[in-house]
Amino acid sequence: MGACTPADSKTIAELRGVTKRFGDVLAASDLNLSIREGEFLSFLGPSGCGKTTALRMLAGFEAPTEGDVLLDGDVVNDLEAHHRPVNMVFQQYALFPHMTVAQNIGYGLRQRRPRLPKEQIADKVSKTLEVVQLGGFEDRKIWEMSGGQQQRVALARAIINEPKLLLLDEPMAALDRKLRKEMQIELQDLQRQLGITFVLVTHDQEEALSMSDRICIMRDGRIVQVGSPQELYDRPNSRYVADFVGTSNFFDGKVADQSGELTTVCLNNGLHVRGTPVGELISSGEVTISVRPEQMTLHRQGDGLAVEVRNRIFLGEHTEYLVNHEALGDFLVLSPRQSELTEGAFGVGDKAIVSWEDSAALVLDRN
Amino acid sequence: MTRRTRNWLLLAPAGTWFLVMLIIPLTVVFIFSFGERAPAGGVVPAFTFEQYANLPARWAAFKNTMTLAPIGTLSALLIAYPLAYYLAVKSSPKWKTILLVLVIVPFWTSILIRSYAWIFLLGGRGIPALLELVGIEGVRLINTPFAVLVGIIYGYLPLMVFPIYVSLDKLDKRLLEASSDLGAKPWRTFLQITLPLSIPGIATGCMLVFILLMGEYLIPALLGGGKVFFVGNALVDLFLQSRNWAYGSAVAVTLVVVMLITVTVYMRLINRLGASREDVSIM
Amino acid sequence: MTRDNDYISKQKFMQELESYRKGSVTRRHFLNVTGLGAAAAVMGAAVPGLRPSPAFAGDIGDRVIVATWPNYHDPENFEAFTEATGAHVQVNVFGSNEEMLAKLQAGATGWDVYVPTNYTISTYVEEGLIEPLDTSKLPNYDGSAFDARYAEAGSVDGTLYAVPKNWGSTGMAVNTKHNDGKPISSWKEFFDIARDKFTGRAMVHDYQLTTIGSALNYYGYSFNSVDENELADAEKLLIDVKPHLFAITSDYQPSMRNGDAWLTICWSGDGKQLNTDMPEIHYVLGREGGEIWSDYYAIPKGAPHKDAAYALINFLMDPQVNAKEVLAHGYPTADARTFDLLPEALKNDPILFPAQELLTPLEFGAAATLTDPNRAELMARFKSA
Repeated sequence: MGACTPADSKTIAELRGVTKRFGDVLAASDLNLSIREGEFLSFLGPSGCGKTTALRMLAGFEAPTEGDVLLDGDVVNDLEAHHRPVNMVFQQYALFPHMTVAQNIGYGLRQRRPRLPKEQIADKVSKTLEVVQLGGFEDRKIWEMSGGQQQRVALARAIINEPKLLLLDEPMAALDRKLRKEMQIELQDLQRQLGITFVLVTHDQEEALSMSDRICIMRDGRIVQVGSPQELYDRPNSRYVADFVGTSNFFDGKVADQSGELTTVCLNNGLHVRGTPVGELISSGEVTISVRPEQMTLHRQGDGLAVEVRNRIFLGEHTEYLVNHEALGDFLVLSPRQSELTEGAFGVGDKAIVSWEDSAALVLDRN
Repeated sequence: MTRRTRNWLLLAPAGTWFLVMLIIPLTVVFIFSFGERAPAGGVVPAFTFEQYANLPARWAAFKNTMTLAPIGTLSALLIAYPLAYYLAVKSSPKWKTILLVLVIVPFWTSILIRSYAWIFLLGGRGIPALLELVGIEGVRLINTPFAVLVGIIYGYLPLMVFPIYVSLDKLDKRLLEASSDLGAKPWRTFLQITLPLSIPGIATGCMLVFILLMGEYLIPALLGGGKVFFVGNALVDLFLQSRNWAYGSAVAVTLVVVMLITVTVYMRLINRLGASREDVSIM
Repeated sequence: MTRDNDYISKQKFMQELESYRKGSVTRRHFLNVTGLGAAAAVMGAAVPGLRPSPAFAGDIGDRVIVATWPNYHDPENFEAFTEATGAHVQVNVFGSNEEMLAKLQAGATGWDVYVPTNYTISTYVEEGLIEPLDTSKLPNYDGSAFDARYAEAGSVDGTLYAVPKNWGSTGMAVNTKHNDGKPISSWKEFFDIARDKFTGRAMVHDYQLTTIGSALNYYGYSFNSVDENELADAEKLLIDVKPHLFAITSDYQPSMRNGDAWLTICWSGDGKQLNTDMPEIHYVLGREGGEIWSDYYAIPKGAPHKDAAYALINFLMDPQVNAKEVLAHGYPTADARTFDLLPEALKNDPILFPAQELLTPLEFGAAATLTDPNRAELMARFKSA
């Protein structure tokens, strides 16, 4: 997906050393991020990580305590929301209950000075309704619309203004699972169709992974890592990211040897494992080895960790094994169907050997 | 107990109250209004429209009431709205509680005592004396329609503030952000979002104040010096001084009818305003 | 004037206003029109802590309910009565005789004793709202001790219905400071200066009897006139004066005291109090005439505590007790026995006891004056004009 956004496209918005405090509470700390024109960027993190604060500073609802917010190269720290070419889709949509669908969608256009002709507004409202597949719903009242329809109205109300940035604050949190999937696809289509830069805030990693060109992972008011979904998945820079993006097995240990290209880690059971170091490791050498379940293989014999199969879940394409190692505890192994066919399936209680390539084992900062 | 009996039991206290305290007295007043004054005061049964024919003799009272009640309501609204807005939207939670209590506090004291305070403030040793200090002489405030208006606004302000406060407090603040986000300047956000959505509070506040004002007699009596005469004062005089119950009943019935008509027209207006909110929002 | 006493919470209420009102004891005080005075008095009785515990439980019952005028009694006397008999005195105060009559006509007041003015008594008798008095239950009452002028209205067709409380006059109070130190002496001057030099400074009562009566006096007509043409003249005068008036109120002491108003129709007791505190305010009787009146104690028909009612009236008829009353309310007594007990200064006070030639033109209000529907309607037209 990243392919559709040229990496060298220009920066449309930027956070430069942005810090935001609410009284004693540090909501965002030293945020640095460039948002590229036309990309779909997601802020991902648990609630309270500062992602919504970052979004509200882009929208103009909050001013940074320190640092600068830039739009199109201009510092806009104190530019109020109604002066910014930025629009937002609110979490509960924040549709105006006393207006019809058309009045809600045309609201932004009606604020323009000099005034736009009424016919032009009506025309554009109809077209935008078509875009969000609500053609003919102009005169409906907001309370007559379903949750999914309201979401589309909120979307239409924002995109009709052709903003430089479209901000989406957990836009699908109120939708049921099935509808959410559909909307994710629609949103992506829409973004490609309109070419508007989308900035999404979500706590749902699946949503972020499936829709974004880039993801900005946040924790405790800081940006932890920014990258494409693949980068984050393959090269997480910390245990936190590896854990947040996808599923992984973690084995704690100490750095034993860092001289070569690979690092040797002494696990807590005394076992020595080699892995690829990612990011800077702290000097104390307290690290964790991260191995994705699908990068582990199960054998009847050979080198590796001796485990016992505790549980087996057949997933069709894959089989997920929960295995137990005497010292390392439980972890997951995902076996492709193909290997099952060659090696034969393992049953609960079977003894097995788990192994992985050195390159699949990432040595990460333990935090 | 069947559900039916239960429902009846739930309604019985209020129903009895209404019947005894409202329906029956109103009926009695209605019947009296066709009677005649007894020689020593009171009423003797009759069927005459004489009392109604005599209504123009109280025209001034109706005129005063129908002038000062709307002006008082409107002034209270203009003063209450910014206050309610500040309380609901702008003030910090800590101050909000303190300010709300301050708005309620006057209710703990009798309106009579509070109006007496105004007699002093508006009297010759009050505000006019202060004005004299800065060289403005000869200002007469007490016992004027203005004094009555001041008393009315003061007395009824909390009744106006609270319904508006409630409707503004309920208002989802994200709607205001959404409006700003869509490019509306603050005052346009107010006109297009805040104001239309607080109409229920405004309507309730105005209705409460207006209806009570129509029956007001204490404030005009105290601050108007007996010279600013409301229908309420006319009624007190008719029942307690001249003891012309028949005529008093006719005036009372007329007041109730005028009130019903006004309130009906007002409700229609509010409803139509509600129905055509698109006009409001397109302003 | 308002003595501190907790026998009714009305006293506390009055104190709240005292700093400003400086003890207004206007007889037909506006507060009473509002009914608040009565409500407060009833509440005072309902709160146990505010009720004195009787020295002994007499067989006259534990309470007696009095309908009277504001600040018209010495609270200490009521306390003494309660101590002596065990009956607690509950006071309801009123704004006008009309109001008192209206309440009694409506029925079930629960009053035991009330204080009607001379011209109302015959109406109460006609309406059957008043109890004939049994003098054997009033040993302290001595009919021969009273000046007949102030006692005769108590008897109707030879039956005694009411015994005299005190009497008084209705004149005018003028702040001479604003008239080169000169008082005025006639109703003609009153209404003329009110439209001229004293514009915006004069007050008339919110009471048809005295306000219309004074306007009638202006033309030299009878205070009690119900003649259509004479009333028409009075109405013309009143409506002409109205824009110049400071207020139409029976609670005129505060404005006279704080200087907002300089001239008012005034009852003699108020005149006495104003003059005592502010000597520049003079109380004068109109040369053309005016009102002289007398208040009485009576028992309404169906009084729930009749024994207590007799006991209280008898107690108040005691010259010693009555003398204390006079000192408290400042109105003259018609009881020679009480008069003898008064201090010399008071006996010679020109406001309480004016010279005979000044009293001669005064008239007692007539029953017809009170109940005349045309006068009532005239007053209402004047007020709503």
